[in-house]
Amino acid sequence: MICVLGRQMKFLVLLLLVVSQCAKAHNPLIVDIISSENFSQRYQAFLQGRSVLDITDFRPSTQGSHIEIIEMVLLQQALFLGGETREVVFNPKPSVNILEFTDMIAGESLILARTVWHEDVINYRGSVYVSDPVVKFGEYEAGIYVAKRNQALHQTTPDGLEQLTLVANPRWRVDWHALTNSKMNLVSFIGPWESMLNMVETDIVDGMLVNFSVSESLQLVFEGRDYVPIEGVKMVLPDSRHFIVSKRHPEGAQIFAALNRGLKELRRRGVIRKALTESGFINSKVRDWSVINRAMLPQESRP
Amino acid sequence: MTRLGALTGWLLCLVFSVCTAATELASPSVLEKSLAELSDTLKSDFDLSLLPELRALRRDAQAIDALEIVAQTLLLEGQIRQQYGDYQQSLILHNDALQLAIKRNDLALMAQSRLAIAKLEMDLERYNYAQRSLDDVHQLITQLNNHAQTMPYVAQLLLLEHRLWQGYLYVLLGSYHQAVAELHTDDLVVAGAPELVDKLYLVRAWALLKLGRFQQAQPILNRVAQSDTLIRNQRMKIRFKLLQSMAWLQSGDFQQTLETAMPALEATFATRFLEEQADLQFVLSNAYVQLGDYQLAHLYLKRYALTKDALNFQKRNNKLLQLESQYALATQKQQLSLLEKDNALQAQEIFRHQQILENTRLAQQRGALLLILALALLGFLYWRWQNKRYLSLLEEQVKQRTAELDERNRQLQALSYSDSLTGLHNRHYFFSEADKLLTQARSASQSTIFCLIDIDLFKQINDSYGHATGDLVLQQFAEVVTKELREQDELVRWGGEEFLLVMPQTDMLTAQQVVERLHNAVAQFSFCQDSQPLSCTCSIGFAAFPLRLAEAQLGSWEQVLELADNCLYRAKHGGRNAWVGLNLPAQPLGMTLQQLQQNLDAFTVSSTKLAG
Repeated sequence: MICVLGRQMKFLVLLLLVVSQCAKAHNPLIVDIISSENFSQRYQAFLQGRSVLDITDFRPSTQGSHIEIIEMVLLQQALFLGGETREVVFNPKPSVNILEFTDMIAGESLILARTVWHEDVINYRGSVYVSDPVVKFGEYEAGIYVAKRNQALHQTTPDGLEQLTLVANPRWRVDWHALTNSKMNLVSFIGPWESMLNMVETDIVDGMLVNFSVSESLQLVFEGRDYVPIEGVKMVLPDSRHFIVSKRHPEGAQIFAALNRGLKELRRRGVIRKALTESGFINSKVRDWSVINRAMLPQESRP
Repeated sequence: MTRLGALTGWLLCLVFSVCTAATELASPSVLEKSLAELSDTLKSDFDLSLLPELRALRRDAQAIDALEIVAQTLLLEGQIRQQYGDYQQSLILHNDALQLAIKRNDLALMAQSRLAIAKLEMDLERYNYAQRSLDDVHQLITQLNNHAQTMPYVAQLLLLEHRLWQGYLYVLLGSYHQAVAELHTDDLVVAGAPELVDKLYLVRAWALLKLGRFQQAQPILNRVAQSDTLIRNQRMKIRFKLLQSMAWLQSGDFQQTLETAMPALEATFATRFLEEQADLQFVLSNAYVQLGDYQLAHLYLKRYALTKDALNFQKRNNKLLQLESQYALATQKQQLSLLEKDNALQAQEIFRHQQILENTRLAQQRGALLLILALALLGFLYWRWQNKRYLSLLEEQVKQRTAELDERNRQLQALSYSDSLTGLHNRHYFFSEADKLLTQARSASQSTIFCLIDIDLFKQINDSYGHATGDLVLQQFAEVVTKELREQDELVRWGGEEFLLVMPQTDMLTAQQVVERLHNAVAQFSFCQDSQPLSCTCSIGFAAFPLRLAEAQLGSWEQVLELADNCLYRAKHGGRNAWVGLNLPAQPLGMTLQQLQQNLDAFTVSSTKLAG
C-alpha cells in the first residue's frame, strides 16, 4: 500500500515539477523573512550551489546558529512536496512587522520563512493557519552557559543550581517560562543578547540559557571569549515551533494545505528530525543530560 | 470572589462540626451565624463597608475566646486587604491566623491559612514562596488523612483547593501541561463545594487556552456556564467571560469575542479586578485587529497598556515596599551581626587576656619553681663544695698535724736520744741503737772499741766553780773530744761526767792511738777560758768487741762495756789522768768473763805502762 502511494507521489511530484517550470517566471511565491538576519548570504553559503530541493545533508557549513537556514530549506521542501512548486522568493521585512503579525492577519503577507512559537500566535489562530510543529514540544533544548574561565561552575550539581543566578529576558516568554520553572535565581534583563553575555563575562550573573553550540565541545565562542554549558543538565524550552500562513490571503488556504501536507511527508520521511539533528539543533551530545524542568513536559512525553 | 465564598462555606461547616461543644453557649452560635452572613455577602463583592462589621465580629469572638472564629475573620480580612493591594497587612493577618491554628493544633485551619498565604505570594509573584506554602499544605493534608478524627470531607475539600491553587500557580509559571494534568476532579468526590469545582474548571480551561486548545476548553466552559455560581460570584462571572472570549478569539469568531468581552469589561470598571480588565482589553484589541478595525484595536491596546501599567505599578510599589522592609531587616540583621561579631571579638580579646594572664601566672610559677630548684641545686653544690673543702682542709690539717706530730715525735726522739747540754747522743740512744751498730761490727773483720771516758775530779769542779761552770766544762769537754774523733766514731754522754766512745772497725792499736791523742787533747785544753782558766784531765777505759770467751762463747756488748768499765776503774785507781785498755789476744781466751775479770791485769795496756 505504502509502495503504491509512494509511486503515486513520485508521479505527482514529477507532474507538479513540470507545471511549476511553466508557471515559475510569472507567479513566484513570496515568503516574508526578517531582513535583519542577513539570511541571503548565509543561505547561499549553506546551499553551496545545491538546489534547495536536493538537500539531504543538513550539516552546518557556516558559523553560528543555523536553525533559520534549515527552516528556509524545510519550508521550500515541504511546499514542494505538498504540491506548491512555484519558485520561492524571499521578501525581507523589518522584524517588528513580522512579529506583530499585522500583515499576516490582514492578508498582506502570505507566509513567513521562520517558524514561530505557538504561544505567540494562539490569539491569532482565527487569522492564521498554524502548521504542524517543525520543532515539537520538548524538542527545543538549551544549556546553561557559564564563562569558561569560571571553572567552579562547570560541574555544578543539581543542588548547586539553586545557588546560581542567571540572566534572562522576560520578553522571551518561552525562555522565561523555562527558567521560572527551575529553582535558579533570575536577573531580568531586557536588552541585547550580547549585553547578557557580557553580564556573564563580568560575573554580574553566573550564566544564561543558550542553545547548545554545534561545536564538538559544545563551547560557545563570542568575541574571543569562551562559554561552556554546565555539564549534565539542560532545559527544555516549553513550546513548539510552527510555520504560519495567513488566512486572509487569497492563496492562504491553498498554500497552507500544501505546506502542512509537505511537512507531514517530511516528518514521515524523518527529514525534519534529520535536519534538526544534523544541524545540531537537536544535539546528540546532550541526549543523556537530565532536563531541569522536565515537569513541564506533557506526561506522555516525559523521559 | 468564588474562592472566598467557597472557603467561607466550608469553613462554616468546619466551625459547626468542630465546635459542637460550643453550641450550648448562645454567643458562639450567634457569632457563627454572623460570620456566615458576612462571608455570603463578601462572595458577591469585596465590599469594604463590611470590614467594620467583620472587625466587630472578631472582637466579640475574642471576648468569648472563640479562636476559630477569630482566625476565620483574620483570613477574611486578609483576603479583602489583599484584593485592595495591602499585601503587607494581609500577610500579617494570614500569619496571625496561622499562629492561632498552630496554637490550637488545628491542621485544617493551618492548611487554610497556608493556602491564603500561598495565594498572597502568587499575587506578589513570589512563586517560589507560593510553591513552598503549597507544599506545606499538601503535607498538612496528608497528616489530616492519617488523623483518625478528621472528617474525610474536610480533607477532600482541602485537597481540591490545593489542587486548584497548584494548577493556578503552574499557569502563572507558564507550565501549562503541568497545570492541565493537575486540574482535575476525577478522583475526588466533592458534593458541597460547586464553586470550588467550577473555579478549578475555569483554571483548567485557562491552561488549555494558554496551550491554544480552545476546542478542549470550550466544553469545560459550557459546563461552567450551566452553574449558578456565575450568578452569585461576580469575579467568577467576569473570569468566565474572559476565558470564553479568549476561546472565541482563538476559534476566530471575533464577533462573539466582542459580544462576550465587552459587557465583562464594563462590569470590571466598578470592581478592582484589574487583571481581568487588562486581559479583556487585550482580547478586545486582538479581536478588533483581526476584524480590521485598527482604530478600536489601537484604543483597546492602549487601554490594555494603561491597565497593565496600573497593575504593574501597584505590584511594583508593593514589591518596592517589600524590598524596603527586607532591606531594613537586612540592615538590622547586618548591624546585629556586626554587634555580635564585635561582641565575639571582645569576648575573644578577654579570653586572650585571660589566657595571657594564666600563662604569665604559670610561667611565674614555673620560674619560681625553677629558681627554687636552681637555688636548691646551688645550695647542694655549695654544701658539697664546702664539705669537700672542709674535708680537704681537715685532711690537710690531719696531714699537717700528722707531719707536726711526726716532727714532734722526731724531735722527741731526738730529744730523748740526745743530751741537751752537750748535744751528744745519750745513753738511751745507745741502748736503742747498740744492736744495729753491733750487727755491723760482728760482720766486719775489724773489731769495735767500747771506750768509757770519765772527767777526773769533776765533783770538785762543780763544788768549786758551781754547776754552771761544771756544765760548761762538760760542753767544752765534749767539743774537744769530738774534734779528735774520726768520722765513724760515735761519742755518747753516758751519764754525769762519763762518756762512751764507740769506734767501729778499729783495731786495738789504732784505738790506743786515738785514746792517747784525745787524752792529750783534753789535758792540754784550757777550759772556761772567759772567766778562769781551768785544767781538766780524764780517765779512759776501753775494750774491744767482739769478745771471744771460753768454749767459743762470744761475750755480749754489755760484758764488753763492763770490761771497759773495769779498765776505767783501773785507770782511776792508778791515779787518774790515764787510760787503760784491754788488749786481748787474737785467739780465743778459753776463760769465762769472771776468770777474765780476775785476771784482767794480764791483758791490759795503759798509758802509764807505755810511758814507763
